[in-house]
Amino acid sequence: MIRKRLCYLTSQGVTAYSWRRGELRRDALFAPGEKGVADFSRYVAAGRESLYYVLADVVEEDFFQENVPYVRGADRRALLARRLAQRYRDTTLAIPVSLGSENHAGRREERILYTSFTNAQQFQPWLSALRSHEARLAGVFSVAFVAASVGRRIGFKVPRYLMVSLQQAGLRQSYIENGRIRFSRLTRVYAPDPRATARDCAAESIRIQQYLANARVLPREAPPLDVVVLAPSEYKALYDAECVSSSRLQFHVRDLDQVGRSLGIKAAPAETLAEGVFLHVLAQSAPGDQFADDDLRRFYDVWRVRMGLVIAGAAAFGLCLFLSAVKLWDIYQLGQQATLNRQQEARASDEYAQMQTSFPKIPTSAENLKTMVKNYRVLQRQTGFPGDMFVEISQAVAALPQIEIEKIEWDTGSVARPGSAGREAPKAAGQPESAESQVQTSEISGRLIIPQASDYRAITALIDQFAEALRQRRGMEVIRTQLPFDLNAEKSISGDIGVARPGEVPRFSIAVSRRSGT
Amino acid sequence: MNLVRDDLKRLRAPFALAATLVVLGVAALVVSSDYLDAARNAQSATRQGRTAAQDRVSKVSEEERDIRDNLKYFDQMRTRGIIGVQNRLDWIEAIAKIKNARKLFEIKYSIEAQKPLDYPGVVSNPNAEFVVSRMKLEMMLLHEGDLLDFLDDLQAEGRAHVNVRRCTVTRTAPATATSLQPRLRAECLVDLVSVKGMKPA
Repeated sequence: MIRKRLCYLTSQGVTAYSWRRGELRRDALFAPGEKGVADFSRYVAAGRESLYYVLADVVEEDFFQENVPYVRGADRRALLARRLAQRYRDTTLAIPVSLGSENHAGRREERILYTSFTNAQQFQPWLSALRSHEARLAGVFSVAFVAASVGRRIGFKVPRYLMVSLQQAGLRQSYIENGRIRFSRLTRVYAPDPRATARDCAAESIRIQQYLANARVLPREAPPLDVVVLAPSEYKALYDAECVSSSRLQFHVRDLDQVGRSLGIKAAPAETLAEGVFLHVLAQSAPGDQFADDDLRRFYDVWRVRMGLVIAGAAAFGLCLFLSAVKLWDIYQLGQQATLNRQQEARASDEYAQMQTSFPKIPTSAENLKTMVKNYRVLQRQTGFPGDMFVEISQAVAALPQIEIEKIEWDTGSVARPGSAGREAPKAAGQPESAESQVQTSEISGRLIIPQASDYRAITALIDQFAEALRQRRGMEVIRTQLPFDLNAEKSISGDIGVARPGEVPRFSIAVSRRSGT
Repeated sequence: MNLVRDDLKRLRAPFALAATLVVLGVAALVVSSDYLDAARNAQSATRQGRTAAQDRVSKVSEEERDIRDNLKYFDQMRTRGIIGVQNRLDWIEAIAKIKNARKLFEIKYSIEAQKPLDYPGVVSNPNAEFVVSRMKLEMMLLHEGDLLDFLDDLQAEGRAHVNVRRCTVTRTAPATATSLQPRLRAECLVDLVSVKGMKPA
């Protein structure tokens, strides 16, 4: 864990503390002057890896509030820088703090609190020592701003209140409005007399209430101003006695040790007053408003980037490892499932092998046998034999002695399409069709034994009779008939009626088909 | 925050560390993803194997019935002489035997070289290849019954599966002829199919 060093800077010098997990330890006290700064420089050189927080508690601190036109971006930055330069001779430790916006005479304005340590010279030796040793300076903070944080942390939620605390530097009164600092003042007190200090606490509270009322920071008809007094534990009774509420002030005296414990302080040096609480709150959660510029905070920024890179890398690594772990868990579960699957498969295989013993013996593997039989059945479906068709043709022609068949061209594997009589050329042999379209076709050629070859009507009637006889056979289809002459009206026809032509024999042909299995 | 060039040098080490962590993390992620893919594939394969094995068990009676059915066809194939190496000498002797038994006229034949059967629907199977020898047949017939008897006898000889692809029967003498001479001529194309290279169980 990074060690934090807290430098409590007052006009009497710098008191260096180390803070770790709520434990505050005083390291050294560095008095103003060359020796003190040199000692401080050595102290910083020995702890360059620590984070440094400077908490300034000095009298020379100014607060001024004004409204500015509501602008954003570069214009706002330029405007505020100009206003700071106009108000303060040295803006090294000066900042503008936004208190919100409001409408004034129909125009939106931003309320700005300008605050500055007006004597920046007393900071320079200490800040130079930090800068020269490249110390990681998180910022220069004001007790006033930390007081607002302390108020929030102890749960004081009234809109306006005054926090009065006694530190080594003196008695500080911080006026806090809506959780934000508006004004703060440090008064020197004579610490050895606690009763006088308690009396000063009450008196200074009345004075600052009058000042705030006169400056119209407090509303005219405001209720009594709440005052939170952080009283040293051993003198709380004195503070209770001296801080008496009135029509203008309502005192709330709190035991400083109890407040510290409630904020998480586990240990603090005995001589530490309220600065211990402020330092602890600063170390735990530093306020966003601080006075050091980018140049002073450079090594702190570099450290932050370095930490950011490492943390981002570690986070990415952790995320990847987490996702990998999730995947490894999935792999483990999948492996378990695979093992279970293998066991179940082995059991099923054993069971199957057991059952297989009752199977009939086969000459080849079951798969091979199956393929063979499948091919054989395909072959059977495509197997043709001309006998059946020859018998059908023979029976059809038996009743027609005038017809003499001369030639039968039987073929299997041709496609027959009903209604396309005489127009389809059969496929070449050796190109069998699929089982579904397997057909047998026969081209029957013959001649007619009739007395008069020119008796077209008798010839046509005879061939029609033969075709009809073929159609009557089961599954038989006549797909084409070819007469000895062409009766097509689109073609010419000629003849010589009455002239005898012995020896002339009319010839014809008929194509029939039959599907396999019919 | 203003960083200068000199500050970038200070960031080298943490940047390298962060980059190394990111690379290691991504590598772990990639490797675990690969292993996960492999595990998924293995699990899927074992699931399929288990399902297949369980399916086999659940369908064992059906498989047994299929085997018995297939065996019937196989016996038929064996009876028809389809199984085994084609023996052309047997075929020639069978043709001669039929001719003599049926007292047939002249028979001419030519058998082409054996080749794989390429009928539609026939699946190629190197463990039991269906092969065909195409035979061209020319016969002189007294009547068409001679041809049909010859083809029936050829199938009945059980030397191969006989598939007649084409037959042309032509009249060579008048139907009224009375002498014992050929009246028809037949030209046929016959496929003799058999199975070779059957791998034993």
